[in-house]
Amino acid sequence: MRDAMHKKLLSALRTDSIVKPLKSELDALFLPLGGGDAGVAVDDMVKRYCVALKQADGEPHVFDTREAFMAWFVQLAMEVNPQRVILASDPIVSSYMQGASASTGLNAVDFVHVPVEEEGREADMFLRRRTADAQIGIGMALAGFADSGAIAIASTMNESRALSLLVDIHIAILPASRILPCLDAFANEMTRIALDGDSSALTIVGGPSKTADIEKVLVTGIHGPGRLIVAVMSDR
Amino acid sequence: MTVPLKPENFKSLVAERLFNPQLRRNLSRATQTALTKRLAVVKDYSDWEQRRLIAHGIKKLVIEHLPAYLGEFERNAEAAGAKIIHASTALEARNAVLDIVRRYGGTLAVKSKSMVTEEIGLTHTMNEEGIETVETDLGEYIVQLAGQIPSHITAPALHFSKEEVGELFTEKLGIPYTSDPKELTAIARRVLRQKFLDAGVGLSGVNAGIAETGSICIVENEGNARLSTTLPRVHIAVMGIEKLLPDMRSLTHVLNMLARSATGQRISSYTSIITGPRKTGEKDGPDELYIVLLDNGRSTMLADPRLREALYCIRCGACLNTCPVYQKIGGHSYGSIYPGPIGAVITPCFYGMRQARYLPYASSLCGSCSEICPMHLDLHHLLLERRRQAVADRCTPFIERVAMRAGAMLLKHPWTYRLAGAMGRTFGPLLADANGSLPVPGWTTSRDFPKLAPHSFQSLWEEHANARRDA
Repeated sequence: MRDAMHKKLLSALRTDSIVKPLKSELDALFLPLGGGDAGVAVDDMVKRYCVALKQADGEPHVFDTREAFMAWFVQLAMEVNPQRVILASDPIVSSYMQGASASTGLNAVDFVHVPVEEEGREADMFLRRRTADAQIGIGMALAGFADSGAIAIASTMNESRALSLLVDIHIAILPASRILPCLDAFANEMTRIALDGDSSALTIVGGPSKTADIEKVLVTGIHGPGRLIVAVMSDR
Repeated sequence: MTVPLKPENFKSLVAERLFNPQLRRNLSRATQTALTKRLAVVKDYSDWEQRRLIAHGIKKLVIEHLPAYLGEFERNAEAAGAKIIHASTALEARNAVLDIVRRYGGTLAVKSKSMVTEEIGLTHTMNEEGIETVETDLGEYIVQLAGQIPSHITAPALHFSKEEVGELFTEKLGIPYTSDPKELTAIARRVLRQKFLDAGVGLSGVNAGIAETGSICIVENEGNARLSTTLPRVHIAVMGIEKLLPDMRSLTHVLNMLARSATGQRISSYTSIITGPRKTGEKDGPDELYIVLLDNGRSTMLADPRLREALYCIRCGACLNTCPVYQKIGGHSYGSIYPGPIGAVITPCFYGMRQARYLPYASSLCGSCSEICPMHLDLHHLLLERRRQAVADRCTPFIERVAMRAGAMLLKHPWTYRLAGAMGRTFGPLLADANGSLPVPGWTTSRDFPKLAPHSFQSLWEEHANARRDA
């Protein structure tokens, strides 16, 4: 099957060669685009990022301390009244959410941590069921993109895919230093993540789940989270 | 039960649709909104034209060296744990998918929006074979419930009013009637969420395969593709072999243009880049990933250097929105999975030129499609090439071929041309109708035949020259 298909393609192109063009030939195509936004101040990037995310129906918040973030989260919890919150086991998430269950206003919330160790299929299914009943998922953003307001997230041993997918509200923690001017600046990292073998799913999240399939009326939360909140941490 | 696709019904479908005021209004509003939103974000790039050329250059490199890049993609995908299947035809692809599903004992499959799976008629076949296959994109779900086909590449249920959706849900889901889009959406979310959780197989298309890493990229706004490719144990992705890009840098370049062209967003809500099935240590994700590489006529387009460019298309739908013909008749008129200008170019590949013969002529060749295409496809010249093929394959009306041949003969010699002109001026007024137009069967039902001038240019020139000489 494979040989037949390849033979057909070679004959269609009237060639026998299966030599790829040199990488330099491909790279040369991008030369007219020039350098890009090198050397833009972090503050400006954060501002641009927040404007772009808002325009995409996302909710950016900037915090300069852990306390500020926690105070805001308590407010959110009072507003939304979540029964369960799924937490990624990333050290940054853990440090910001440390002691959350002891906070006033959060005692009734069931905080579930993504188990780091390999625990087999049953444990995975158990986690999935619990995530399906969770209102909020808090995970990490690997990067942010100032031109679009999007973030990059990945499935890892610390963070399940479902954490940012089955819940109603996805909160992503984005250290300000990780904001890049545009997606192109992340391309090398995307290659590394794909080839490293630790993560099978990298997702660029540009906003909440949305559709306009019924009479072009925009509705959020069709299948994925109806709210995308990005907590930009300016202390990192 | 789906409406059969018949591009040969084009003329009758158009006649129906042109005189439907509601459809005309919906189409007009939808296409104008899409065009306005697109312009607003294209403005982000002062070098948009340059970017189009670069995108074109990238695809040209890949398509001209397709066997090499395809081989690289296969090797890297397999190294990441995916299983590759080659399907030359739609039948082979359907059988391959059925085979996999049966092997895993699957009885319920969830499917995200994918043109290529519609092209091969996958959903219909699977349901017939007893595997409940649920379309999960909201628009596709609505269309599936109603037993119809989608009418637009990116907005499948464009032709439904919210009241019609409400009635449909009440009838098929037994819920109390509502026409509020928010409520209808919440109902669909609930119903489909259970399907995602229960399904054993997830089906998807692929927006782009990345040769350097063996990754597949799936772009969406709803989240149903992520769910379909995360929750079930088996993920089967169907990919047209032309959907390759060399590396991640090429992918980001194209992604910058795709959402802007398709929906006027800077980026879609979710762009998933999947490399193999779940890895050790990951908490969820499918145990198995199958990638079905589909030819189904693409190698035929590849073999024709004049049509090869059509393989660069990224299915953004911008050419549909800008086409003055599409804006008036809508997608269903084309009777094909792929409507609009790009549809008219590639449909002959899947249905044959005879069945698709009207489509390349459903165009004024205004070139708006070529201007808007992010991949810089020369669409209106591709349409012209298809017309040339339609004539060569004798798919145009016999009378038209005779008339064209006669016309060519008349234009070949000055004396035949003068004679034809003289006869036209003598007998024309005798045959002309009340409007002064010569009645040409078929051709003049919607146009006037141009009035012949009382004197030919040549005779006027001679007269003028003589007058000057005599002066």
